[in-house]
Amino acid sequence: MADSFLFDLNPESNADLSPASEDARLASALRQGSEDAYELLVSRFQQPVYNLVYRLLADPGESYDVVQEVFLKVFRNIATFRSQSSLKTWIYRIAVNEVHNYRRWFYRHRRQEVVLEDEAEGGKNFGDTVPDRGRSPYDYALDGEKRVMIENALAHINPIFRAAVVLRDVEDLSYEEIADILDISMGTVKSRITRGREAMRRQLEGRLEPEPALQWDPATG
Amino acid sequence: MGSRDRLKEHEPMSCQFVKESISSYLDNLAPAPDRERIARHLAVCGECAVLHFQTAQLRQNLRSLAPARAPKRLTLDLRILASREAMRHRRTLLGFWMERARLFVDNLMKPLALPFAGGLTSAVFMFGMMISSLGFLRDAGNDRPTALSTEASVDNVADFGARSKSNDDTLIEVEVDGQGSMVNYYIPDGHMTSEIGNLLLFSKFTPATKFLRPASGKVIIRLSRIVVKG
Repeated sequence: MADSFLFDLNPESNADLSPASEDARLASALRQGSEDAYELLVSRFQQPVYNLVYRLLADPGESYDVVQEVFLKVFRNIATFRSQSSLKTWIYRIAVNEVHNYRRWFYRHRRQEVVLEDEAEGGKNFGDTVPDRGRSPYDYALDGEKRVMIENALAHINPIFRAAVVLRDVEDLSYEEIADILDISMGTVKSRITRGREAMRRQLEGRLEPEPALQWDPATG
Repeated sequence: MGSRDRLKEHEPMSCQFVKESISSYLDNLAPAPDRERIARHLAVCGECAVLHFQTAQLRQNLRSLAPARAPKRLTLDLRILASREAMRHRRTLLGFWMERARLFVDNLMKPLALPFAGGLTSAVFMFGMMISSLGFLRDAGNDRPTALSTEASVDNVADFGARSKSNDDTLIEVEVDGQGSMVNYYIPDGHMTSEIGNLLLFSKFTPATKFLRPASGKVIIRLSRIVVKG
């Protein structure tokens, strides 16, 4: 019976396992239908996947739906995971594809809908009215303005470049991992990151003050 | 490295090339010779230095973005989803193995079904045809009675010329013990003779049995008068 497979949830006992073997073990437990493994997968990847999807869609309500779709696809397609890449890379690939699908669907259907609530809510959509638990008053006070500017700039660049920039600069993945997730060549990854950063820089030009550059000495930097 | 390459190393870089390479330079992906040349160019070109600083600052700002925290409701929903999917997967897994077992049995039995049925039918038919002509040798000498109880019987009658005195038959009721010996007798006619006495004394009896064990029983002996004329 599948429940007889006991997956050790204690991270200390798995400390000697390499990430690849740990992924393979988790994938194997998922294939056997171990409920513990399903819970472990959720607890390990829920936050990173949500962060990635949120950065790509910039909408909490849509991110909420898309993350559920991502995990549903992960659960149902775990048999196709061949350990050729890390589990994280595989899940991120599903997340990026799901965001792409959602965006395509949105532009086909929802774009034509007339949102009646706009006037009643003072021009705010559902995403704007959902409380964002990630932001505390302290965060707002500390660097709220700059942060909002960065997020707006990120939300307004081409989604193709945005995915590359988010994976590199927000998720801190290597170029090889990004190439694997987006299923593109290394050269294309470099190009997309360069163009994405340049697009963001143009968006923020004049708003993020460049004064320190005048005092900055590249020879010592 | 050739002398031409060494010369190229000392050539000043164009701003366009530096602008295109800044991103790779910041990610430490530019080749080592290019890195040195870019650094030298940035030291002397203010426009490219500002561009470099802005890109570095942007990169730093993106890295310092606090992760968007998943709503607590999402955690709950994902756990429910995980539980449901795990159960569905187990059902699917059980169904999968049952289907495989059924297919295996089907594949195994289908080629055998017709020969098996044909063989069984012909075997029954042949047996039915031959049963009447088969003679089974049976040795029943050592068989023991399987009935729960048997009557006592006369094993061997001693011939002392005992006969009925009257014209009618004479009946003798003999009581036999578990060892097959006579323990009592009763003659309804009431005429006891020495010949009848000897017959009773020297005749051998088989005792009665109850549950395969010897037990006492009764034997009735009839003495008939046979008259031969002529």
